[in-house]
Amino acid sequence: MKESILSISEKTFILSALSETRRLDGRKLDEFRPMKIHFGSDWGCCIVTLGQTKVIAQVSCEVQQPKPTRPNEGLLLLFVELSPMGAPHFEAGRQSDLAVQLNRLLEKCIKDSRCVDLESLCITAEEKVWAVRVDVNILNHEGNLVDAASLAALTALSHFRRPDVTTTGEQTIIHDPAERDPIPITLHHHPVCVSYAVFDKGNHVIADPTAIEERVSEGQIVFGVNAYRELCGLHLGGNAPITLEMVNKYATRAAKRALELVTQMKKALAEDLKNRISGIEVGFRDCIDSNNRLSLGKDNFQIQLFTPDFKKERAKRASNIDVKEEKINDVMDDSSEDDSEPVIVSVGKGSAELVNQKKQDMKLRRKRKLQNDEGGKEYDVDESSSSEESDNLDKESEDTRKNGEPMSDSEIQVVAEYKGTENKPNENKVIANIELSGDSEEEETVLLHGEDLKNGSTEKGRGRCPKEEKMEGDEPHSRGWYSKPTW
Amino acid sequence: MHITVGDVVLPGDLIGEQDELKKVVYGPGLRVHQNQIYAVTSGIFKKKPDANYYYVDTFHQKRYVPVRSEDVLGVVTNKSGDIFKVDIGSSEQASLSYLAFEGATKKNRPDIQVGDLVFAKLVVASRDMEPELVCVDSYGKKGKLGPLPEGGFVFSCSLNLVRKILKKDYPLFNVLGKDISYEISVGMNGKVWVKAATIPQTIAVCNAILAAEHKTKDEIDEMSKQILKMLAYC
Repeated sequence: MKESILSISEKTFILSALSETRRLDGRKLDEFRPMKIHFGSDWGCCIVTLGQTKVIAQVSCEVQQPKPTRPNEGLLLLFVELSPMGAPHFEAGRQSDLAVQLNRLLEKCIKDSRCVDLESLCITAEEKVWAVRVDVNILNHEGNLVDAASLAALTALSHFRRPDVTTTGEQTIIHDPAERDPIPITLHHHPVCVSYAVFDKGNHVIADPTAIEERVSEGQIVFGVNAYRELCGLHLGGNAPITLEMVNKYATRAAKRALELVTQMKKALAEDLKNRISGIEVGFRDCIDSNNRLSLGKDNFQIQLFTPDFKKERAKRASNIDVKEEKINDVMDDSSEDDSEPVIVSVGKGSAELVNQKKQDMKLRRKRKLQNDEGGKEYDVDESSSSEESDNLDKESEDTRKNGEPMSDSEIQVVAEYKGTENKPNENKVIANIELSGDSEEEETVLLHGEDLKNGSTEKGRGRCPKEEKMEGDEPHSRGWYSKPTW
Repeated sequence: MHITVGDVVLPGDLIGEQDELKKVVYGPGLRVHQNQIYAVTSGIFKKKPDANYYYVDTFHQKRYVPVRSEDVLGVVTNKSGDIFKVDIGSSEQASLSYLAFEGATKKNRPDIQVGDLVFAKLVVASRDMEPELVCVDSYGKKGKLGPLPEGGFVFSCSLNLVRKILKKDYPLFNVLGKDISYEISVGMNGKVWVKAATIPQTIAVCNAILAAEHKTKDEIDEMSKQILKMLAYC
């Protein structure tokens, strides 16, 4: 069956909603759907749900001959299948384009990043190795299959236990799981995929698109990141102009999300292990109960103004703070609500400032913009330099958190103090070494003092050519360290 | 009948034998085969209170089976020859002739593109033939049929929800209409088109319709109050 056609009205509605930074299901532009992990009763079997998208992964292993080019490494095989129960347009049999793309993305993220320790899967070099096979099946397609599939594959691999093996000189004995406990597979790191969809020539980027958002999108960005913020894979699809700055900006966000996912996965694994040890029944039974559609309390719809979590948060706030109706500032991308309560903020040692919350947010946003313009590099931005009065270079500035992610709250906290130099502030400091040709007689290289820059320049870090200073500094009280030219 | 009224039936269940003497009407979800009556859909086996009319009430069915003279909302997928091909969510695409519009002639064709929405009536809907639609009634007037105006949003919901909200005294539309002014078009194939003045209002109306699936008549008021409160924040 072919995929049902997307009407013009749906397309235009989603695009115009995005231009108002609104999504159909009430999420913010960079909000992800909640991810849930359920384990089966076998080792290496798990179901991952991302909203309505549902994916099952099963790991199995077999003894095989290794590849001749890599005789002491095991084999890792990854298969993603789009089961016809996932969507009406999924067909059994020949792999569609989407299936091929999914397979390749997962291979890039999990196999090419070499997260599985293949050498530990070797039994006898050149003869017998373990071939670990991961089968991922898409049970329901409601957008963002890559994320769900990658997490499912990774969780299944982490969950799986292979039989224990003992090799004597001639014989190889594979122990029954009842006889000897099976052993887990070693994973060096945990890479997951995080996807974004791009609209309107790169002006709107949303995280974790649903099926209909994917269909309307112009481009897709998929990052393969691990918990150590290392990029393991990158895929740019579609035909939207995606810039380097965009890739950097969303890569840092994806890294944050990957860390959350891996932490969640490890927690789920630990809980499952605990349950197994203590004898509690494990299996997919809980998975079915949680999807009870007939519950009258169902409050998560495909089309809604705000997500249930957001509504709960608002209800909590409304009950805590007894105020009149607050207006939510939904225009800013991911800022928290802007209450105009003034807040005392500490600025370095022994000084504090009474800052209007909104003003703080503006500063933060400007800072964020600065960071983003720098390509998301870690950047110690002197936050108060642009608006504050002091133009002393070696002042203590607030350090931002050591990452380029957006601040969650509008509190500025002094994490570390940046001291320009450990020495006295007025010491000689070479700001810029200006290379001059040796032939010139008129120009001399001189060392610049902090005083010169205080009097002369308005932007930090810009050295001045001594010739210029000579012109301006022809006053009787000028510095005596340089000699006037005599010719 | 071995299965009594009010039982849950599955496709293939044998209900009973056809009674030749009594005049019994077998409605949707039942089929007679060699004097035996079978259920062909899953649901509750019901009987109309004052008539000998039996049927199977299917809940949460999403796949539409075309029924003659129902009004449906479809998406135009193809323009070929003299007909439009329209996707109404059934197993086959329906055909809609160019001439089945008000004031249409061979020279004067309706201005409909691929991807447009049309509200049409089924005139042919049988198991063995492809469904046919028209956008004009037997007097040649369009009434409320025809292509839908631009804008708005269309979404799918289950068939029983659509039947529920189209009932005569269902308060949902009136309650929403007190605070939001909107245009709505509901197709019996589960497709609903909503257009309001702003995007949050449109989303609010869609949300209200989806939420009404699990609510009783009395809870509609409460539910729409909550949704309108959310809307006030936007």
